[in-house]
Amino acid sequence: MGVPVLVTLIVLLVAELAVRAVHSHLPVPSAWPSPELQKKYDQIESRVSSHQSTDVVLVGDSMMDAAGDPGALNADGVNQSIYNASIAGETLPTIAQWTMKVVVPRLHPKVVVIGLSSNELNPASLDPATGIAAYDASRAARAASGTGSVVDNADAFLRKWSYLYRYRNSLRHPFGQPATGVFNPTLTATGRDLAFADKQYLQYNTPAQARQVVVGVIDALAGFTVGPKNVAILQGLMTSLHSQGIQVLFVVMPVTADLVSFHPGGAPDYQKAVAAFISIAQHSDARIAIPGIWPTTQFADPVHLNQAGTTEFSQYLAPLLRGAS
Amino acid sequence: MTFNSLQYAAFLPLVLILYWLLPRRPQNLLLLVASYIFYGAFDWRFLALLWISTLTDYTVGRLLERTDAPRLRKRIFAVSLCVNLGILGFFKYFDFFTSDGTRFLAHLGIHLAPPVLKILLPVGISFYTFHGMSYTFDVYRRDIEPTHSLLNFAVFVAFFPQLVAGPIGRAQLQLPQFERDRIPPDWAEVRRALFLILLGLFKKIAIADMLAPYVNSAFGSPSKTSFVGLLVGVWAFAFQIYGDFSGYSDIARGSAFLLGIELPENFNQPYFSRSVTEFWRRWHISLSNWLRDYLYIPLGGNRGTEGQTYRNLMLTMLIGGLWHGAATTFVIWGGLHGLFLVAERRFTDIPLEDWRRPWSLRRDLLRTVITFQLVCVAWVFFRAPSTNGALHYLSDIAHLQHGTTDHNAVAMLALAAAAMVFVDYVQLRARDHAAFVDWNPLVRGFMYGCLIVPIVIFSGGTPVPFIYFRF
Repeated sequence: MGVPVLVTLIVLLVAELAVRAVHSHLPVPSAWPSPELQKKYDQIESRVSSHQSTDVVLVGDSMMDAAGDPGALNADGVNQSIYNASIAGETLPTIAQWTMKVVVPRLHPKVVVIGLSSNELNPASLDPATGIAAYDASRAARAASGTGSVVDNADAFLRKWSYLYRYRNSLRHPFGQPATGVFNPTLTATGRDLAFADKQYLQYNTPAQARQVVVGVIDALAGFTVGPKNVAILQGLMTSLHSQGIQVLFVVMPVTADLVSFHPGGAPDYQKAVAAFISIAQHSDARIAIPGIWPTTQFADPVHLNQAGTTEFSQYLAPLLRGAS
Repeated sequence: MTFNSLQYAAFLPLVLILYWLLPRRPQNLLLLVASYIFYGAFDWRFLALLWISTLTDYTVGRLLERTDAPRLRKRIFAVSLCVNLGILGFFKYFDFFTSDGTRFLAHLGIHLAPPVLKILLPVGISFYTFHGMSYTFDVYRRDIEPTHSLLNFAVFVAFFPQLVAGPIGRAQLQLPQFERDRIPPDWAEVRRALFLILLGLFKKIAIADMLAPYVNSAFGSPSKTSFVGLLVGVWAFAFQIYGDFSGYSDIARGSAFLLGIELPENFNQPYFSRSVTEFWRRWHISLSNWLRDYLYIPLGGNRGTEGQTYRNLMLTMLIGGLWHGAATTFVIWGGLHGLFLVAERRFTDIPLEDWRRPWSLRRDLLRTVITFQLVCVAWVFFRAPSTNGALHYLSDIAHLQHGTTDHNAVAMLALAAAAMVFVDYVQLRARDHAAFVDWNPLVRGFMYGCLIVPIVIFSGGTPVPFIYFRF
């Protein structure tokens, strides 16, 4: 038994070392429901293992993902360590779970900035098939949230320590990775999504045109109303943060006039959402900021800020964070 | 609970520990309970069918023992056939015959609207009904004495390693194993059993599941794929289905060995066959033997005229095709193999016992390649979603269609084929499926490592169910 087992282990070790040697040339493996979640989880783990403190965390969906630039905020005088933990394409239940179960327990921030817009209050955004179900089904998410089974935790352990195991998705296609069509943005070291930074706004006259660019957000406005479940999730998130002694700053993200017009009831729908956000913030003892409608020159599309918009947003947010500190 | 699941990785050792702590009778009881848990994990509702089939065949066996009157024996035996084939017919073929039968009658101007029940197919139904029928056949023909123990018989029918995808057991060979005391396997036997399980996992995970997306892509959008991509698709399917099914059989045999039970070999390097006749001696051997002994020979086999032999061959292969699935494509697949067999008998002078001759690269390579291509033509019908789809697929290859070629698919097929040919060649030369365990320890360890690394890489992807679970 001895020699074959020893040789088998040597073969496994050689394979492990070989993957470690070439891993920088392989695509980032994704055990999470989206590549961005994987990248952000890795960045958070890296901050934890290098004992890098994080004073402020930005959370939200793709709007905050693109707009929250820790580097620009620091340049604007926020003298704190900031990380953008927003996740594109995810909805309130996932954002809340990710924030409370993964981000906060690891980074222990003093301040959490939540950036959302009206789309997250519409019950249509809660379609479980596209959001929380995939998150809950993810072994990595369960293990990281502390709700994993023995198998989930073993999987997380193997992914952490074995590159052969961790990079196996990439190794399945040694002669070229297949195009997946999955959103896989480039991130800065502090978590900002650069996918929209260099884009200029094009005119979108109808929701149908805009849908081609930002399908999730526009669809999430269908039959707009302020959903009680959405309100409860957001309020629960803010209350939980507050009860842990974390300051919460809620930002109703800047939007285009086009996005406002894409609500089925137009501006009144959008105002209903803003009123709901104000009410939720008041009930949770959170501060609220409402930048309002910004010109399209600041946007890459009806929803996401481009580089100019991000710079503007940082200048808007910096005094509020300086106040928080 | 599939063989490549973590549940099975926990289930098998647990059963093994308890099993070898117990004496024979409780051992069989444990096996029975474990087998029902194993089957119930797929869908517990279908356990009732398994019980009906088991009780019927057991009772028929006992009743056959009590009478010598030929007419009465025939009637009792018919009960087993009716119940087993009735269950199979209803659950597997009802919707097929109502939908396809209605279409056929509509061509004749007869319009009917029978109900389509959208019946769920119980896992492994084709296997355990054939399994049980082999017993009543053998008792009816007085080849074996009926068992007096319902427990032993129930374990024979439900034995979990072979319950859902074979090998289809033969009462003559297997039932006695459940009736006598079993000796725990020694270390050499354990090593062979574990190797079979490892090899089976490699074939399933690193060959079959790895090739599955490329096969799905070629058969899913054949009109966009080049003829090279289509050829790669069907060749990949040939190795996918072989890896999938023979991998399952290897794990089944390895698991059974650990329980002290020997299951029949189900595959014997089929792609080294030098004729389609030989292919059927090497592919899904337990089914071909079953069809030969309980269908082809009772029909007359090759004892009549040439014409009768051809008819018997065609009938056997058509029914073999239908056994695989309730679809015209499977019937055509069986029919094609029937035609190949008839053509070989009619137009070649290959002796029937030619398959026993050792395989030689120089002498046999061309015939092997031709046989493989013939088998692949038939595989197109087996895999395609419809008869029209299969005909278009073949036509697009014949017309050298332009389109996309997935270079990953070509490379991965080459790797998979090389691995399978290597494993099969070693087994063929040694005439032993676990030949590797007798190798030099250094080479053996290297071989184990080479099997485990791809298993690690290709496990944990999108789950691909065992293909033969559908049958």
